[in-house]
Amino acid sequence: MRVAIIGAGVIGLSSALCIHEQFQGLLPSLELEIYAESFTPHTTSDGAAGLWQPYLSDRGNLQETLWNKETFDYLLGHLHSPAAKEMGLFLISGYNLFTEPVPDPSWKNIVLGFRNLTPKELELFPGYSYGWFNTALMLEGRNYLPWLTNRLTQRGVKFFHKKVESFQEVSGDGVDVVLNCSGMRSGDLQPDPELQPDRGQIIKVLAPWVKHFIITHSLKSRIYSSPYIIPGSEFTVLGGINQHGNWSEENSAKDHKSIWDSCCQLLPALQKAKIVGEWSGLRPARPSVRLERESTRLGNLRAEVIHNYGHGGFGITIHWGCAMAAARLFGTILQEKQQLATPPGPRL
Amino acid sequence: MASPKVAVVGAGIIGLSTALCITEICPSCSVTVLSDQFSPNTTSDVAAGMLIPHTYPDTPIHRQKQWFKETFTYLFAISSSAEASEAGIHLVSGWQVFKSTPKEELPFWSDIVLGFRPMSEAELQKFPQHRFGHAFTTLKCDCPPYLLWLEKRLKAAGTQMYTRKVADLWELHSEYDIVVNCTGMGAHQLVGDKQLSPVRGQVLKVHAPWVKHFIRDGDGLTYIYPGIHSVTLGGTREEGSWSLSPDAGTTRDIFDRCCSLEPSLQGAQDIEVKVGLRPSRQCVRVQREVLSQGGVKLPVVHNYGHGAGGFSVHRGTANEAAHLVGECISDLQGSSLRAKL
Repeated sequence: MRVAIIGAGVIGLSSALCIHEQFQGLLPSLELEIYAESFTPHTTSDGAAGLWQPYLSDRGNLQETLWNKETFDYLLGHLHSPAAKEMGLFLISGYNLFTEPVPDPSWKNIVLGFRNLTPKELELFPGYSYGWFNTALMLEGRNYLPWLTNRLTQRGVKFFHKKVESFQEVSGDGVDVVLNCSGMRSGDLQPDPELQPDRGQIIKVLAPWVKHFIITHSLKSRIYSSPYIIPGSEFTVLGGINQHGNWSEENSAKDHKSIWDSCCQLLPALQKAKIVGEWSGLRPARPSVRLERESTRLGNLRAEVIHNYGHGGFGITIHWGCAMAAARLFGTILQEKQQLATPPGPRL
Repeated sequence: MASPKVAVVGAGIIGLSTALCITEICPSCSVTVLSDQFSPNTTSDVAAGMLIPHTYPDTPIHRQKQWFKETFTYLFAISSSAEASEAGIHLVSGWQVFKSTPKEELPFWSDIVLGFRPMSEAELQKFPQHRFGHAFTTLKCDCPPYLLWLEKRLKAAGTQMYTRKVADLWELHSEYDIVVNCTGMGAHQLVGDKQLSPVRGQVLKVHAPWVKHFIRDGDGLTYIYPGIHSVTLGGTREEGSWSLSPDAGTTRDIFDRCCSLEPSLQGAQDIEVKVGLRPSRQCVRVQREVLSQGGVKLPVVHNYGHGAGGFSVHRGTANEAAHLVGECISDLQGSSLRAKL
């Protein structure tokens, strides 16, 4: 049984690992192959700050809230393991700021210590009159992706540096299942008008005195289009850009100025911070995550495709829940195939 | 007395902050800081600089609370200003965890730090050996940056600073009108204060930039305090020990205790070991006196004996000491007027 995974961002790698962990024992002939145009450190997941935090509203997708929770709980369980540092996993606390009261988010009981901000805390952030404090997790892509890659390599999963142009290209020839984890590029494999880029840009600075994440919100605008500051293990990410429909991955001077000015206003000491990098990426946005099976046919060849894309600005947040759901879909496919493989009973 | 000459002896956090308060309260004073050690070689440079107060048995609680509140308010303003990183002042959140529920429900400072509340069951899962805890956000003063920033402010205010070992306060009476004694552990020798004794603390400063929270165990013997460039792991409380030499067995023990609270510290790099002697006393001595010798008088203001709590109350005691200096000046001006009559 050969499985081809398209995409080597957090979704592709974690889905591959989840499937291998669950099914390799049951199916020794299982062979996984990962095809991708980009590998770490050049994927969208590498550019993300790595903060576990869903959007403010679940957009009616209760399934996604469950997947977010599964991911958080899974990561929390790994926090004290020796692998945590190598995975880029650690606890982080911080602030979500608003200019007016808002309802508590769907994830308030998933994170630790969720509470409203006190008046004294709000004095730290002039212009914001309401907010939350909670403890969440960081999972830095630049560490997690290499860690996943190592685990997969140890398990004998093969990697191919190749831009896949169609499902047919990788299916056939004994490949029974294709996992489509191609993120923003999914449209190249199969048109999906619901998948659109939410372009982001970030500035990386050295600001090691910042120990909390600070995320501001402007309820009239898109999420993450208001300044945010997220301290990592090696540098701090400044952001606040979310441009729907913008496909450019070039850094924009105008966006740089907007990020810099708004973040320095939020934390004046940032004016002294040294800039060490800048990056633009496309959040693969969709009204809901596409996580479902599809049977494709090319001539006599049938292949099952499991789609797992469209995670917008919460890929890291939701990845493990989705990987497990993809693995469940894979399990169903296996069961169906085994039924087909069962020799027909005697005809009477 | 046009321009009273004030000597501040000691250039740790107490000496520098007291000198600064004097320049603020008495702009006409000429202030000089004298010390045998400056940053990075003071006791203050060893400390993590966390604003979590130590309770002095013989100082009234309301006075300690006032000192802490003043200090917290002062640093809170710096932390959100453009100077925060230069001054080494930053917010840090974390947990104080207890293996058994503490006697007193709330420490006296719980309403001064930010967001103080009991830890939830989910939060306590991180500490399987502990049954109870408090979560809050407080401030940290990183040294050397904070001391260097104080030195910079002092220089801007015209304060002179000299490396000088003062063996006897009377050495200074001909050059200075008032002496302020901020010598910390040095006061044991300098003014013969036998109520002052060292409590030796050994710490490790490690590189572990993924540690973003403080963790303090119970009464604070074991702690993890993340600073700007390093995380301070502690500690020890060895009463009466004057040794400034690091002990290898102690280093191992501190590291093990901290890893037990925060397993990821196993991956910490660049371990640096430091030792400081907490200048401990039953109550902080913030007091003025007039020394007298052969008809000559020397007004002295004491500000020492902060033990484990120097950072937490430094600004409050510095203000109080500066006001006492003001009183000394008034007295001197009064007596010089009387001398003219």
